[in-house]
Amino acid sequence: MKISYKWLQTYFDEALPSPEKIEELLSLHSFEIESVERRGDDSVFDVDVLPNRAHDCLSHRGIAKELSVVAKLSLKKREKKEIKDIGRSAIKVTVEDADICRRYSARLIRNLAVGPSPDWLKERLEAVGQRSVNAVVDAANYVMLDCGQPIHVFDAQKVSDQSIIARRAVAGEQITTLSGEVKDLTTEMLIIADSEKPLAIAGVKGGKGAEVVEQTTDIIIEVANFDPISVRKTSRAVGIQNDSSKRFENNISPESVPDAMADITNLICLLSATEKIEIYAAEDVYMHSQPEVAVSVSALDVSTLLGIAIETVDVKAILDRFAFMYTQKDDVFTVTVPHDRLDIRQTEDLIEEIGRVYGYQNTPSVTPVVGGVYKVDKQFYYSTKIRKALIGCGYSEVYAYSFVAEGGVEVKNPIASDKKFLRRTLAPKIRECLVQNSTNSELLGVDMVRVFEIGEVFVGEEEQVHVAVGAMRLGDKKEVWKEELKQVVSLLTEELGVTVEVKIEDGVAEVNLSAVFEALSTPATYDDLELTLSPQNSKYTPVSFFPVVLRDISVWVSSEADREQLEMLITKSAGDLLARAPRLVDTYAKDGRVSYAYRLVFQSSKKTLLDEEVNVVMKRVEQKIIESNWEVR
Amino acid sequence: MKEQTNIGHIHPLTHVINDVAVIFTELGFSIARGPQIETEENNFDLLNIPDFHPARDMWDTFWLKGDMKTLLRTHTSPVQVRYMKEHTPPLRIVSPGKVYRYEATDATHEAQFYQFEGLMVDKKGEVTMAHLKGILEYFLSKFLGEKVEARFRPSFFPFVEPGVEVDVRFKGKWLELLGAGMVHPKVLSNVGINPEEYQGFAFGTGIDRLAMVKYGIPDVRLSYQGDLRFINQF
Repeated sequence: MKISYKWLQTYFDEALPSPEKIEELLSLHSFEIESVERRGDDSVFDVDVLPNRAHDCLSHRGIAKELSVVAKLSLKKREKKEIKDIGRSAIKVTVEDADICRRYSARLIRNLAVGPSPDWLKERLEAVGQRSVNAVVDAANYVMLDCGQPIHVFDAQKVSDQSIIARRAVAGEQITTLSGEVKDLTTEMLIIADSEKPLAIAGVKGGKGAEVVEQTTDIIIEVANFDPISVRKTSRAVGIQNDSSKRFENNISPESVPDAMADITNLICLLSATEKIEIYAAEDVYMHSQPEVAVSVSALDVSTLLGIAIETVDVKAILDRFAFMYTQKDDVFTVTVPHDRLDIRQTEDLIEEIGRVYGYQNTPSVTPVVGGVYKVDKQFYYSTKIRKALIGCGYSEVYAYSFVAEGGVEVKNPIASDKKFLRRTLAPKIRECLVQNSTNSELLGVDMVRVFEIGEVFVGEEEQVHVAVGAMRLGDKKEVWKEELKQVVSLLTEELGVTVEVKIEDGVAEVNLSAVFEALSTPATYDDLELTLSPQNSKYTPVSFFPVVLRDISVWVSSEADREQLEMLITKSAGDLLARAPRLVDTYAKDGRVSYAYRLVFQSSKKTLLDEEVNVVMKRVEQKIIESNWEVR
Repeated sequence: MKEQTNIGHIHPLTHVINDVAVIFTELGFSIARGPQIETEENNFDLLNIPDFHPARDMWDTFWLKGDMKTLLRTHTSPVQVRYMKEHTPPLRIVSPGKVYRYEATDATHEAQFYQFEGLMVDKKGEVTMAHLKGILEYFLSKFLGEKVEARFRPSFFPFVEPGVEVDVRFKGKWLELLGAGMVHPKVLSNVGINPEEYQGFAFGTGIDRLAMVKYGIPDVRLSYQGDLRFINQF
């Protein structure tokens, strides 16, 4: 919700704290502030009002009230302007379904001149991202953004018989909305109609048929309250979500209707009155009034839940900052919940109010006691065991996506046409992964790429944990991989102590671990896994997408003892372009000397390396080797 | 000469999950798990997120085809529901696992990612928001390898009351890292635990997010590409 700083200021006599200070206060005590944007001499806050406060805070008034509590500012007393109406209503309002049309108030005003809005109104609306239409439409929008109550205005001359009926639509009925779309209506939907036709989809969108335009002189103002679920269903069904539907589906209090009606009437009269203006009385149909709710809380309740040391006097002071009405008996406060605070229904809700105003940042921190007995999760235990064994054999772990093009379980709303199903096997992705990585084998410093995944698959109704293992060397026959995989199978058997059923297909072995785990007993602890915290120093370095350049170098050294020093020298002299540690590819001993052959992989993170550039580096490396009295072969 | 024996690499997300296991089992928390295909009841209704409530919009959901209203769990909270239904307090669990959100992917959003939640339920007054803060600071300090401070800000999750966002001061900046709160009394009674007698806290965070913060990974999607040039860095 966009909130204008200047608009907020209208609620206070004293000057508001700076936008930065307001941002800080609201974030620590009320809402997350998505952004604060400077707009000329105004600042606009994007306040993330979540559903618990969408009843009362999707408005400048709501935020002003909140700010008054957290910044200890007094709200300006609102002056009630008397409306000089004719004393009778001149419209007939019929509410056919009071469960979903909880309140409906309508007022006829005649002889207006609808012109463009004055600058102050345009500015206010534009500041919060709204477009100006004409003075009447803008007024309705303004009052909604000001007090949170959606308002609709009809051109009275386009309403037959001056009658307003809130009823469910009849099957087959249609409406052309204000934006010109034709919508099919169903009997589930509440509509506002006259004696002949639908005028609006209640709480969601007005119809073109009774649109207010510049020529309009007579209007009917609707200030109503609709059932949240009904509005949500309807708005989903017709595919229209807007400021109005959002407020209704979050449930707002029907008690706010008269106040909003007074505000909108006054504003329209201010903007569009002519000398002949006729203001009729509002016809207000309100069948079941909102029951009053009382909730109790004590300082003990607060400290029991939040663990903060708070006294009765602190609780009282905070309730006063909210200007809540309450009675106090000993240490217990019974609060009469304001009608718009539909989020306060039980003690915990009041504890939250007290806690956040007191300041969650003041919550003490109780250090936990190490110890206590945990239950062992079999799947975690054995998966970890298998993982450790595979890592030990040079296999690296991958995680793949669950969504695939083909499978047994289908998603109703896939993110892409090739991601419609849940995987029923891990093997295909392991295969892809082998191919993909084998092109990088030099960079990875391996002859053979080895990967595995332990993850969930979906076989019919059943969710299983599988492990899939694959190994591949570019250019090799598949038989080589098979040899590798046979070793993996015997390893699994050894680790788990049971024979496992392995499916080997096209170079990848896959096992249904869920079935295996079932037969295994649950150990008492995780101790023999020897799990420790992961290393703290791993840091991600971006992968370069430029091609690698390979160079081999063989060096005669006097003994094996020189090897480590040699490798350090090569690494150091090769510099930043060396993409990985030199890999020993050959060792050869003759006449008391040893020759080590290394494969060096060069790559830049910024460009494709030229041969000449690598030659320069190799020259440097050779030079350093010679300086160390070793011999380059 | 034959190639040297290479040691394989553990996926960075597994590192995080293992760290969670190490730190929390030391505190007596059990690892709990549940299925990824869940019922609407466990994923939403019992967690105080009724149908047609705007709070449902906080979780973009993948629904599955078929007669039953089944879905891919949008959080690991249904694991808490399942665990609470089957056990009597005191309870201490963590629940690492894969979750799904129906949303467009970018550097910070994925349609699948990993989460872990923690739950602790005990007699009233025994487990408060102060204990929550203590445990989170303890966990994050161990996990990140330096003493960190946590800060609560008001927020809203239907299954807790009060609900908070948890910021962590790490390398001189406040990072929003977790959502948390005191388990909503309605949730407790929904799973057969008497809220007059018991209370507890729950928290949740993204395992991917923790990995990104700890290792400086800039894009959540890197974890799911199967690229060893990435994985072998950890």
